[in-house]
Amino acid sequence: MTDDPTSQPEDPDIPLAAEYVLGLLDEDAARAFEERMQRDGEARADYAFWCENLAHMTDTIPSEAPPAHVLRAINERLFPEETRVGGASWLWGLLIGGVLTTALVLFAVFGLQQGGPGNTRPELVATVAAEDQSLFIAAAFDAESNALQLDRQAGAALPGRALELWLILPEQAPLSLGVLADGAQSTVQLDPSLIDQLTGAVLAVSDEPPGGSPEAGPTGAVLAVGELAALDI
Amino acid sequence: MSTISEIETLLGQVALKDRAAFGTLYARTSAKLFGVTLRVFNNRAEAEEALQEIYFKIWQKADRYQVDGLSPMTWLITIARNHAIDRLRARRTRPGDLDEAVEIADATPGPEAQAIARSEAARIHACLDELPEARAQVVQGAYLAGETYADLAARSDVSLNTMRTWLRRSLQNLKDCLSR
Repeated sequence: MTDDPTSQPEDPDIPLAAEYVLGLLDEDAARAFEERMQRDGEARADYAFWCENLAHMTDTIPSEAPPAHVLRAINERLFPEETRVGGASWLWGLLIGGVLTTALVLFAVFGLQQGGPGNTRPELVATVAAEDQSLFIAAAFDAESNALQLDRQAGAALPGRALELWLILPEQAPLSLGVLADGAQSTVQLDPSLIDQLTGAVLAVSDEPPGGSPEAGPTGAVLAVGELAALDI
Repeated sequence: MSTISEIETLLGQVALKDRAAFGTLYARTSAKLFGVTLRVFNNRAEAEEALQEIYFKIWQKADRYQVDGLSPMTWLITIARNHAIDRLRARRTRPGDLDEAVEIADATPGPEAQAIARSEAARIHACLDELPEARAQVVQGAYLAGETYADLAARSDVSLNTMRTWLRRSLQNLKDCLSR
């Protein structure tokens, strides 16, 4: 861009910092101003002055929550190693902390699953949680392997006790899915006859003696519940 | 409503690569920054992509926050706006494209937004009101639509030098008003 001769940058009548913040300086002038900011506190102060004031021009712009897939993409790009079920534990931390909604976190985490062995996108998910989130288990049903994948994000069995997982279908007695493994992540194979009945089924966790309930149903307190629902994009 | 110190604390933690803090920062600020990108692009898909890139930058640059000397939200808004404008300019084929006139019209807040602005008492709004409307629009065009001197001059049908003089004078007036 051809320039007519301009006044010197040092001319105090020209708000150079403002032009810099607005992006109106050409490449050379912008770099010169940046260099000046490195050594000149007043230039830095001018820069801050204009940034602060001009930023308020955004005050009147309405805020709008971005769609969930934006967070998913950010997670994928910044933390690519967290792509397995139960990964991205920082996102679960936000759910437990009440910062994000369940739907958003479920999508951001489980929505990461693309095709590939052991990595198919789950059909149904649930957050099996205590009311105060002291016990929190993320569950995802993987139709390809007929298995429930579990990730215990918070809480554990009491000392000398066990956590047992139950599947409760409408109008039926709770069906034991076994004692939860010690590790945070585990997989529970489901009987094929159950597969079609999972939508809307409830998962529950009860406090039991070691080895699980001695009876057909739970004997201890129900600590956490969650309903299996379709992952809604 | 997030307090300034909450955002500042979160930025400090993000600078130390605290992922949970980053998630909380996103939850607290993404609606505001998304609004900004939507205004700049007037195109949802572009705004969403730009927002991702903005949060990458925030993750990478959070350690610079203290150095830049800006308040926390201003720092975030500045990153968002600058990135959006850079991206917008990169895909422009021709400066002074009159199709972008629509963006400028949108940039002027309606009466309701102006009422909100006044209630928030940010000085810039009162000071912009003191300028002739055409001059205020030039400032807004530069900030929110990334218009260059060439774009602004073409739009107002004046020479580059005239537009420079006008804008610098307007900026000086704003500075005087803001410093009162």
